[in-house]
Amino acid sequence: MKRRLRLLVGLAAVGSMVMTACGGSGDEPQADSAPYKIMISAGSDAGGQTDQLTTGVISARAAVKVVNDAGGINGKPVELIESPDNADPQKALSNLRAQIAKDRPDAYLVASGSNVSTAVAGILRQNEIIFLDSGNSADTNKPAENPYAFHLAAPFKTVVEGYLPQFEQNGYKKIAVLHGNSAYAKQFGALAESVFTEKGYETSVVEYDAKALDMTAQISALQAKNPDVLVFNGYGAPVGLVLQGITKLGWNVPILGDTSVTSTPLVTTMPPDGLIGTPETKNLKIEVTTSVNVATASEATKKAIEAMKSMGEIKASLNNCLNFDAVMLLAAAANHAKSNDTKAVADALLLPEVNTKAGTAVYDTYPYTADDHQPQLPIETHTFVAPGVLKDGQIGSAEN
Amino acid sequence: MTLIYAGLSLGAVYALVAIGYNIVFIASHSFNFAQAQLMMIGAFVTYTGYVTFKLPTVAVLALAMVVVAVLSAIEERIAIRPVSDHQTQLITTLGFGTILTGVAQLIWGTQPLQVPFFAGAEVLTILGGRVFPVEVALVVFAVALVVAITFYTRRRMGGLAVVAMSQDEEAATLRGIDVRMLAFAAFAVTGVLGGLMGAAIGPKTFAVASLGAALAIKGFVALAIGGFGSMYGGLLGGFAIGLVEQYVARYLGSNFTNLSVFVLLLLVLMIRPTGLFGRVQERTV
Repeated sequence: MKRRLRLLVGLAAVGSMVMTACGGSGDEPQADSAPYKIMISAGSDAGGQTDQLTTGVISARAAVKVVNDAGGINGKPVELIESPDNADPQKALSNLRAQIAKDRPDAYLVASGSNVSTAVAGILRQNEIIFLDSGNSADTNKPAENPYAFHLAAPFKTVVEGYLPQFEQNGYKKIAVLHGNSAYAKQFGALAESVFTEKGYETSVVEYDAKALDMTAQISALQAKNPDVLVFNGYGAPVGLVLQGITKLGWNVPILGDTSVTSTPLVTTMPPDGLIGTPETKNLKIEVTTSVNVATASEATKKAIEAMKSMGEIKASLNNCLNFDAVMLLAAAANHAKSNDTKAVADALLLPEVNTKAGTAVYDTYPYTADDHQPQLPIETHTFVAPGVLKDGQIGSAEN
Repeated sequence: MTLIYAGLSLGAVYALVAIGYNIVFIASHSFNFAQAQLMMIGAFVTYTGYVTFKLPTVAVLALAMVVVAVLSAIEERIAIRPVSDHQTQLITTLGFGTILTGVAQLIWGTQPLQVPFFAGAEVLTILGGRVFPVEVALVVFAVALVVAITFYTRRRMGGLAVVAMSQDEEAATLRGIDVRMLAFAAFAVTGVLGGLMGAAIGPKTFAVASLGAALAIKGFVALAIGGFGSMYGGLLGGFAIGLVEQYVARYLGSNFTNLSVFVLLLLVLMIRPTGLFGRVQERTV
């Protein structure tokens, strides 16, 4: 009787162990086979920024395919979780909270503007999720507070200092700056004024309301200062209104448009839709990264463009494809660290041997430091070209 | 002079929106908050007519007027007629305007499109000031439209019927006026004019989905300054806003433009609560 009882107890114990083991490998995936999850703020309609949004998402999809084809991250496939928030900060935050509750992502990306970046930065920091921010929000370059957030776009200083060689080459002494009233534009205007003045240039700055329908007054205020060159920030319809206003006033002044001007299809499209070759763009040069210019793009950039084209049309300039680089950087850092742990990946991102050999497309390298999570790019990464047709995110192709 | 021309042409744009508001207000005492979006559609259709279909100007204008008139008629059927009170109509017309913006984004995208102007884009010099032909046309069009509408409402039977309906709907019905039909016709006419206005505005502002929102508020302020129901008031209000915006932006900076416009509105309303040309309607009860 005792032997039977022992046998029954033994069978029950073994059965229990087997069931426990089966239960553990049932619905929930094993940690070892779980993919590396990257969440991205995505969608199909972000108003005037829709092309930027969709291009940013396509670039991330392309990089995920490239990484997965090369074996994934530490042997695990990469999964891109798209948040259909249309770059709306509230929706993005809500979707991120829901995703963390369901299945915490390993990394987070944004595809349009800095509003989403600002909204999600706090919760990402709390949950120790790595954040590669193409929006360059002020909240994501505070390594002491948030060691897991990094900027992707060139720092304002690099963008603004990119003008200095132009001033020197052309002998410009008096600079006029015309900028919009968005947070980005105001920051651009303030930094341009301080940098140019610090370098000894006589600088006049005028702001315009991006919703205004006529810029004659603002342009004539700058014209009265008789500057040698006009530095100009704008995106969308204001770009056309400013260029029309300059033509109307008959002001024959060299114009240097910033990277937002470059992102506006009006200056990268032939008539009748665009202004290439018209009197409005006669004196205009636009700021581009070396990767946007076909003549100076690297082999890595060309490969990335082919990968992106296989995912869909690249509607905006390559400046909006920073998420391709984000995924490549994450893969390079995690593979180098041989770990998907957030701290290990963040530490690896600081290493030059990682961020210079990641196969990035927009910038060749992303030199971060422990104290500054903005890529410390040299001013040579930005240059000025005459407006040309934008094709596959680049200007200067043979078809131009 | 260039600044004056810029102010007047911008003011003409606001005045055209105010005229659209006014026609519906006179006919039915309600506001069509989708008016600016209807004009935006007019600008997009003009672009399509010229650039995509390569139509002659007359055909482009006809196309813009027909398309916007049809949209306006649809709006009257789904956003005005089923709603009994005018307060709710503010919401339903606003909703219709939002739908139009969304549809415009789906069809024409989110980037600004350059709308050609039939008289070209060569800058003209008039009395020492520089101006685009479209800007001259806008001012002439706004003034001519106000004169024509005023003449129609004072000298023609149809116009008098609209005014009668506006003053006393019940009495107008007793006099044999088909009030519902007339209200519908007013909406359709607003649509026809909206298409024409869109064709005039587009070459100055570009056709862009955000245009409706940019025009709607300033058009309403122009109307409030000039006086609800007054065509000449809306015209004057529009010109006043345009000139104030330009001169303030030139000499005080862009940060003060909207502020100055609303200060002007407050001043006018404090001195004349019904607007410059508005009338107080007295009724014996």
